[in-house]
Amino acid sequence: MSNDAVIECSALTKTYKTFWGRPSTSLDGLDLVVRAGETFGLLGPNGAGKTTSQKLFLGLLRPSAGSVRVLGQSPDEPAVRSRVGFLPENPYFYTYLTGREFLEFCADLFSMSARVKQERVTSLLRLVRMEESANLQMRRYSKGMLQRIGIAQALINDPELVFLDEPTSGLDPLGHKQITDIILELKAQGKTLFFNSHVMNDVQALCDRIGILHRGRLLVCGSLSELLMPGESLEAFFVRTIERAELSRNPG
Amino acid sequence: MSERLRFFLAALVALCGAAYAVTSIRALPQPEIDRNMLFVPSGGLVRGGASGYENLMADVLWLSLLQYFGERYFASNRRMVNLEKMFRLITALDSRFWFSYWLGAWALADNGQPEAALDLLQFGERHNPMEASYPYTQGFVHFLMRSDYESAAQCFVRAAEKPVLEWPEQRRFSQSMAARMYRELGRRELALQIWLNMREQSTDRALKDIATRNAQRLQAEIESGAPPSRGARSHR
Amino acid sequence: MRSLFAIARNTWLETIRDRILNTIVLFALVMIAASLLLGQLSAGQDIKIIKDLGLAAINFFGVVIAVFVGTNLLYRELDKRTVFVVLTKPVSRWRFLGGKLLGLLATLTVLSGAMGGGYLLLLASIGVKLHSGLYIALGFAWFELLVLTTLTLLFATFTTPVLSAVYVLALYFIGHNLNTFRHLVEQTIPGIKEALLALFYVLPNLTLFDIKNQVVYGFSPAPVQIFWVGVYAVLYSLALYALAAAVFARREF
Repeated sequence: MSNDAVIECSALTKTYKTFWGRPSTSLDGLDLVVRAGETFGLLGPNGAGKTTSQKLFLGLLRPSAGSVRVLGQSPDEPAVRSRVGFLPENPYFYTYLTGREFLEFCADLFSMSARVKQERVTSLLRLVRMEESANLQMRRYSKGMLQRIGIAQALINDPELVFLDEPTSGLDPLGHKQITDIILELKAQGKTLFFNSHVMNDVQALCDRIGILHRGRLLVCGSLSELLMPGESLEAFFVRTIERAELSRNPG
Repeated sequence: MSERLRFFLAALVALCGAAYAVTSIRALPQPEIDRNMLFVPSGGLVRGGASGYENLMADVLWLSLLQYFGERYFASNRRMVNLEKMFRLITALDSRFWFSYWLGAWALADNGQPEAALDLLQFGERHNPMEASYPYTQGFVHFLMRSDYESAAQCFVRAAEKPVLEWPEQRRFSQSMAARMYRELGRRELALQIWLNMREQSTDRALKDIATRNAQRLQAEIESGAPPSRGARSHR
Repeated sequence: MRSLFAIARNTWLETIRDRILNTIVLFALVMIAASLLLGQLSAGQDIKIIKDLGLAAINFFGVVIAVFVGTNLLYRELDKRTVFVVLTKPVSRWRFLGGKLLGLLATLTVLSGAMGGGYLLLLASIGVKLHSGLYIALGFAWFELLVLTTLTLLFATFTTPVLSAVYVLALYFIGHNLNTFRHLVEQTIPGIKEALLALFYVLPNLTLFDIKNQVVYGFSPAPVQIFWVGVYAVLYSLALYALAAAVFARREF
């Protein structure tokens, strides 16, 4: 594989045991390469295995089979994690901390010096336009504010690779605009972005390449220009792909 | 070596060290008397605090008392403090705990407190009026520890009248003990009467034989006017 | 190490902002009420009971906070998915656990320090001569909290808060009756006896910390006893912590 690969996984599989001991496969043989500087969108209906993949890339889950390397190393290595950022889905942080305290806490997890920490926290608060609410406890934050402080914490270490799990879902139009602006800015900075989404418009506007995940299997993967027919929207393509997969599962 | 294995090994090493510390503490000289036994609250007070767990509490006290026996008593012949209070407390918490009465009575009697032993058993008899074992044991305490044959005989007679037996032969044995006690006392007519009762009531052939044989011997003694034989004391 | 202290500090803030330290007020109220009500009792007895009650209350509040806050410590991180934020940063899992443990211990130390200080002040104010045994009993109570907190953390790494609390409280009861257990072990048959003896050393020996019933009668443990009890508390807690780290190392989220 090429050496500018930032994420590479082959035959990556995650199987859970259900309560009754029956295995349930949440990700089934994922082969994927994401290159440096690219914005990759992983699409799929709820429960398709999108979050499972991100957790495998971040070492929160361990593969049942197959292999995964992030920035050339196993995601278990703390060294890898000092070069990546992660925004979880529906972030719900320590409600008893203020936004600024939370970012300072995150900076401490990277053992930053006090000076660097203050610089980073201040500039990130400006980037996500949270300067005014920085000293408010996070229990008072709206969903959009939590999402923005979430992006700020994901960027605290100036990462090369950022994972965003459903960064734009459930936001009001204004909040949505703010988040997509931030993502565009990151893209302009040349960061590699990997995000999970089922908001098709965002993916079409932001991503260079996409993959569609359905029932744990990667159905298609490629750049938008390769995949879409002329004049076709991503939404139409997505529905077509999923329907074809369902049809081949139960013909007739 | 995986991280997990390293942690398991570290746990094992630390646990061995901790175990060594426990053995070191156990090897330290202990205070002369167990201070836990210095203050024993009254049964009523503890019953109030037990809030429904009276029997469990009695069991816990019983276990710690056994431990006290194990460590202090059997090891040496030291006289124990507050033994009576402790048994009083256990039986107040669980007044049907026969074994604690039984062990308590013998421990107290052996500790030079036969009166306390009898008190404990009488308390038990009041709470368990149907059971033969309470007066039966009192009889033995009177007989063995106080050589009070008259009281012993009364207790054995009372035991023979109780409907609930600890073991099947207990009634016969109580009657025969009562008879022997009365003979010791010289009240041979009363002893004879008890043996005769036993002969009448027994359905078992062997029991009838024992009663008959003893009755005949006693009858002969009474008729010859000989002094009471001391044979019954041989097992003392 | 900075990440460990950051997590410890965050945990400390969590408990403080949850107003855990309000239990100090509760303790103060119990003690004041007791000293007022017991004043009616006959001379001598009230002082004895205040001494007993104070040590018992310090122990009780400490244990309750250690168990109930401890069981929720990890659960909350998992439930609110804040653990994702921490563990996707370059923080090893054992450091994360260590930070949580240190943070809770800091809270418990302040809590028992305040209760212990209040207790000694109260005793001094009613004319009780403070002797070393009382201070050592407070220290032993802290050792016990150290062991219980680590034990709680161990259970929290693999089971639910309710079950953790049940297990820890069961072990608390067993741990305080371990001498009885040891005595019963002596009377079992060989073979089983050795297995039970091993169990005796594995179970948390909380009786070692229990000198509160003796110190109120003026007893004070010898330095060698204090030393070994401290060694035990530290090593046993380290063993539990290492075990928790081993379990947590494989945990998935």
